[in-house]
Amino acid sequence: MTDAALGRVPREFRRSYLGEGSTLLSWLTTTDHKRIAILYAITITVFFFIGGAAIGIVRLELMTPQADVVSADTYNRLFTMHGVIMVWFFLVPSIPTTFGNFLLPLMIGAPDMAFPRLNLLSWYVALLAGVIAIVAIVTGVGDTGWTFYTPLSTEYATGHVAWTALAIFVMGFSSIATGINFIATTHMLRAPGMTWFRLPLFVWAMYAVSIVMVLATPVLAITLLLVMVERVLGLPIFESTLGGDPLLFQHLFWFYSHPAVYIMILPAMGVASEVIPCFARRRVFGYAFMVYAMIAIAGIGFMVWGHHMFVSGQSNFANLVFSFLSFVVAVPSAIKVFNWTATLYRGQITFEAAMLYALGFVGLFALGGVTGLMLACVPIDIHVTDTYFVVAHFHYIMVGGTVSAFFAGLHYWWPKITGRLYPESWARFAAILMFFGFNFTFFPQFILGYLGMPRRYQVYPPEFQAYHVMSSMGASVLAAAYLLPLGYLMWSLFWGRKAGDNPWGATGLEWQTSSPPPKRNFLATPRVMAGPYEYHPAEESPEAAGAPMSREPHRSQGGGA
Amino acid sequence: MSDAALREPWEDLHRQREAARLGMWVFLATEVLFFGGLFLGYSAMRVAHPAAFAEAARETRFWFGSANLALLMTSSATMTVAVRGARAGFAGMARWCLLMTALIGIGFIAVKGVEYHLDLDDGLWPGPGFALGMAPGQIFWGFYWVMTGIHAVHLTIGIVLVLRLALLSWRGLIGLRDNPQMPVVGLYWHFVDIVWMCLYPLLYLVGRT
Amino acid sequence: MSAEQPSRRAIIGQALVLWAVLIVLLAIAAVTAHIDLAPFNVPIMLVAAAIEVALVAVVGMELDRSPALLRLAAVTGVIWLVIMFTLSFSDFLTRAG
Repeated sequence: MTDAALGRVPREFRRSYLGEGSTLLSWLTTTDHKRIAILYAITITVFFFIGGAAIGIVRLELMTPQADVVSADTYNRLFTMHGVIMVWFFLVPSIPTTFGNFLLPLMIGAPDMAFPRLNLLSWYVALLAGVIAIVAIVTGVGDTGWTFYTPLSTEYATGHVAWTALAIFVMGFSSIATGINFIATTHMLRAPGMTWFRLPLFVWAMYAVSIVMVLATPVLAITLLLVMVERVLGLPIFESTLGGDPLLFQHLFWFYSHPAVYIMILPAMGVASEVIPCFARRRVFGYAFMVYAMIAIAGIGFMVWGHHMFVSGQSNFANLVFSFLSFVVAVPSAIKVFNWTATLYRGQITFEAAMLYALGFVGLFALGGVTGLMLACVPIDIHVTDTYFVVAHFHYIMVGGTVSAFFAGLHYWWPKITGRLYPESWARFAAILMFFGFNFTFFPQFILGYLGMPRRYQVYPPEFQAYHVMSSMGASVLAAAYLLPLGYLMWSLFWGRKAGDNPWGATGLEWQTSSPPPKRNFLATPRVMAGPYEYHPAEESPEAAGAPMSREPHRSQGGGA
Repeated sequence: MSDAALREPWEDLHRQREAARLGMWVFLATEVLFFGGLFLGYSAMRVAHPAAFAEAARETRFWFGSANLALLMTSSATMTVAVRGARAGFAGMARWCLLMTALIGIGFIAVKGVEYHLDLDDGLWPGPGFALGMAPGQIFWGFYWVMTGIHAVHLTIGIVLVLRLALLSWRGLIGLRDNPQMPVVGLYWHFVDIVWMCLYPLLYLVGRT
Repeated sequence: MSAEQPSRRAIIGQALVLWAVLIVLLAIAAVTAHIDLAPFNVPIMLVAAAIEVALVAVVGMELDRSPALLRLAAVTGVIWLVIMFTLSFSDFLTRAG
């Protein structure tokens, strides 16, 4: 865009989205996808720290083998609260509602989402769900664990199970609205020239995750509704004394909750696929296969839920089928890990904070995935079912994977969102601290679980104490690592250096508009002439293209062999 | 009129309509899975207890269920006329058909209300006083209440949406011809009819022989 | 947008045909349900319902003249339903005892 062209655009179109009004009302009534992203970001940050506080008390309790901090009942409520809040009020909405909302229209060259008012509505629905959740927490949250298994949830649990379930039920509508919006936006609002195979992988990730959200969430909604109906109205559905089948509940629940794992991890994969090529100055390796892999994960992810039920009394035949399919779904995930690694190969790698987080993501996700394969194997699963091994496995995926990627995205797009640069050294320090804190917390749990420590127990045999103490100490390191960015990012809002439009020299339409972007994102509808990740001409090395950060290559591209 | 229907971020109404229809179809896919969970539960329980389900299903009111299905089939026809009439520019016909559709929907709710009343009088609410005794029949009736209840909620929402369109159009506040809301409400209404078409054999026809 | 504008008669006529076929299907299902056709009772009522659903989806919801994208969205929900049923019943139907 030339200066002459800019000069013709009226001032109010050039003003950033942040300058469109500073009253609270202007934020609460906005239909701008960028502002809605900020609203979501504030909301999920609050929930992240509530869920974190709950597990902080749990970890404190587990420092000793006896019960000494909280009562058994409170202990059950605390881990339930941690699970419910972290899964539905942080992880599921985390990347899609913040970066997805902010970036999807920018990345495809659209002025806004397809249904801007539905987008705002989805936030209010999420807020309502959050309020119900907080009411349930204050008055005594359900004590069923996040899984609401019947008949515990329908008959025996003493907390406000129905309220907790209602909060999640309502939150589901927010997810569905977001999914519908993303799908319609991706189909209908791509800029001229933005063909499907020119879409950045983050957009593909948002599209894939929307499909999962839209097709899985309603099953959770009906499942929780049935639990509420049975508990509150007394209508028997799963009641085994009348011939009902608690395994029916588990099938329905996991039909959602396994794909929900992919709701959490697919967006993280999208973030890594943006950050790694940028800081390796490399085209992403195997773009088309990255796309197919994400679609395959979204599809096959629906066919593996029974691996959560290997010891539930499910038939041996079903165990066999689900075990096989669980191995199949590992293939596309492995393709992605290999492709990120191959993207790094002979790149011009620099270790900015976002890149450190992204590399951490790849490693931790790989470890989480490999232990997942162990769990897909029926004999091993029978040995470690409901132990800390499972807890460690899914925390490697969800915290090591998704939360690391969330922070990678936060640092990568922070200059675009706020127009400011954060202090790089602090950010690198936090990234490294988070990686070590995380492993310190969760690696001992693999060993604990393999030795037989069951999950959800407050009191345990003394021989496990050393591992529990290690884990709790790691958790405090992790907590510090989570609080650090809150501090320096806030600081950067006021005193950070101005970022400029494209501080990382990244490709992608979002970097071609100003930082922060104007209300309608682009002053003129962009026309897309090339594919994504053009960090160097095809078939050429980064340094031949005069990469912005020219350094000595490790070895000349294509030479030597 | 057509300009009033055009909203941010769209540049032309045709594309906005396409997006609205796509959005509604995707939403209906979620609805298929939402009701699908119920159908899965019903089917699993029926396979486990075929005799008890047949016996319990004999207690549903065949004529009420059939009359209601005929009503909704009629409303599907009137809704079809409304949507196609609106698109062809016959605003008056479209409005009358919308009104008729909504009235038929209210008729359904009325029939269903009487049926519920009779069911409750006969002690068909599962629990301690259940008329058919402690058997898997209670589970059938658990599904009966949940399935018909959720359907009724959906239908009520449909009635409100249809009446709203009809009233806004009568007062000249919206045009129906190019308005994206018209096909979208039509799709939703048809879907609610479809759900009843699936519920009818499961709840009213099982065990009649 | 479309080339030919249908007349009122044509619109009402098509809807009447749709209505008549639906009612006939309802009658078939309702009547056969009361006759003992041993293994065929349930298949008949389910097939009748499936035809009703297909008719409303194709004619009423205009899938016959919708873009491929909308048809795809419509079919997706059904495909996922099939996945849910198939894999769940791989357990329900194979349990020992």
